[in-house]
Amino acid sequence: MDRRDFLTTSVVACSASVFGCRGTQKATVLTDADADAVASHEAGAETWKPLIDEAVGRLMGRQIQEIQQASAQGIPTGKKRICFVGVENRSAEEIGDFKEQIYEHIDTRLSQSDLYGSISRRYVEAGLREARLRPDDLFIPNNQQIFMQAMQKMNQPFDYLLFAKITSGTTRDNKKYQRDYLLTFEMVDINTGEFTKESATLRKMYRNSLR
Amino acid sequence: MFALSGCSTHAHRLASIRNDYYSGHVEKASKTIDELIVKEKQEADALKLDRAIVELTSGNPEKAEQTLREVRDRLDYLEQKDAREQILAMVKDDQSISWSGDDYEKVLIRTFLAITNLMNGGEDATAYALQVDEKQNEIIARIERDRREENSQFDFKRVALGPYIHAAMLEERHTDYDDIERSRLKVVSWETEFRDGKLDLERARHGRHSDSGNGVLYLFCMVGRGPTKVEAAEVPTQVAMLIVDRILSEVLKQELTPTIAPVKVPIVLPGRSLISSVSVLVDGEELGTTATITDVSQFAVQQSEANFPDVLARAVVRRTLKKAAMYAVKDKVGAESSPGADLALTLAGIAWEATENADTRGWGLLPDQIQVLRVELPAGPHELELNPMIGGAASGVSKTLTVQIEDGRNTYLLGTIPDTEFVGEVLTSSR
Repeated sequence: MDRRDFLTTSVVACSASVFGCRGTQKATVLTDADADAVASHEAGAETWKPLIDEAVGRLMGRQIQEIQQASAQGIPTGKKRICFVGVENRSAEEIGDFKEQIYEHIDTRLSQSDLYGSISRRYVEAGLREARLRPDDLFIPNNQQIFMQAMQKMNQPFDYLLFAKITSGTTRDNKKYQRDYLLTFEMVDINTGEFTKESATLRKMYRNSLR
Repeated sequence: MFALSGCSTHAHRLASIRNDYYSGHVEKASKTIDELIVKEKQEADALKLDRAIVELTSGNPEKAEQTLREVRDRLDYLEQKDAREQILAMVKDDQSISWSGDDYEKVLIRTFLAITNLMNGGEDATAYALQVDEKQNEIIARIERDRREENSQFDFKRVALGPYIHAAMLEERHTDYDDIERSRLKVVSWETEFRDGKLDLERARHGRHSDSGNGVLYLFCMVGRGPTKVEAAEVPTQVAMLIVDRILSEVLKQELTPTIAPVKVPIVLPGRSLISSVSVLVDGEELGTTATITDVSQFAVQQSEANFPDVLARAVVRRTLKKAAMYAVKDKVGAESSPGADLALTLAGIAWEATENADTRGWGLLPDQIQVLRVELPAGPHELELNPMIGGAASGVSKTLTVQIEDGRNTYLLGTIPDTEFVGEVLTSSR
């Protein structure tokens, strides 16, 4: 290449070889048949949805057994009202806007069941505000009574308190690591203080691709 | 080190707007901004950010939010490089490229969206606060990906105001204390000097939003005159020359010796604050003073310095290519045997280089600092007096207003104090 060719080639080469044109962002609507995208750096829809389905399913399954036993003994069984207090994230990841989704997914699944009726989250928040209690305060029996009174004042009595917790465990292997996600439900019978626990787990492997 | 020069750049046009706005002539500043948006198309997006600040200060958070959102989306689009613009930038200067904002501006747009939305109902403030983090993570990921050996020491300074607002919003809901703790932890680790960080974290871990019958008042103050971008003539540094060498060898087969003459580049100058804090008197009793949570100037300067070797390198590459182009033309016309043509082409080359200006487009009406204060108050109406402070003494002109505090809820206030008195309105979220 001599200097004559330089002017015509260098500037163009310098820019065009590195950059293209600006693209516009586009999106498509996914149908139920489409698989969820798999998040490359953290848990996403592909993790939380099956975890919720499995954990709620297990919780329901156990309750059905208990109701069947109660019916057999002649104890009356009706639709129980659940006060779903919230989702606590104790994992290594931030779940950002997914937290609200997780709450709503769980709440919707519970509402759809024949066993339970759930209380609107707005009432739960109002009750906690009125009683000035933190969710973790509700494990203390006295606080449970204070909260129950606050909810009753709003005509929202309940039978169970439900807490959801997300935890994670990470196993590292050079450039890849496995993360186990665990969704745990803790349900407290407000009348007897009896405690039920169910959980579901999902494992995910992350690896760095070569540049 | 820097030889500053003033000519027909964005910085030059912005000077009068800054003076008008900061000295309280908000309407005049607004009028000039609107005129320039029409006249200077290439600067319109940067000017719209200034307009958003003016709209916010004038008591119109709804419009300010709309403007900020529009610019945020446009800058996201313009972040992608366009070959035509890049070629033009090599022929002319970086002002030929559509302005997509510096990293600090992209983060601050989202920060201001969160604050603005708090004054406008607050329905989207949590989303905007999360976007502050998201954008910072995206920038850090890009830096990690593009990191060169030459500037490997770069450490991204994060803005803690996003998680601060996120935590404040969540606290009001009385449920997600785990998320509140995470956000408060971010504030403490990102803004280690923030006075109230540890207290807030302690409350997230063991306390509650407020006592029964009380609510919380958050005061946000935009303090001081913010950073500015100006043009400077800078001698290429060793780091910049290494980057230049790399760029040229990546795209050209022929060896080309880069020029080491000073080139015009934009630099960010820090702003300044006259007051140190704002004291808050409620019903005649002093309840505290604001503390700095985001040093906007420091953030902007640090970000700009981190990217400076690349900016400098691009200017050197442009200068080198221009010189090489002139040599090519001289070769073609046989200037060696014609002293007249040689002189004419040399002068043309000098003129070509002289038309170059640094790209000083940027957000011009930012504050120097963002300060905050959180106070718990009994529910009901309260008389508030806000006093600008210098050191420990009240100085400047105070502002009084009435706010309504709601039981178990947050009320937000926003004031702007470029010098020693409030400019425009003090906005309140209380209805």
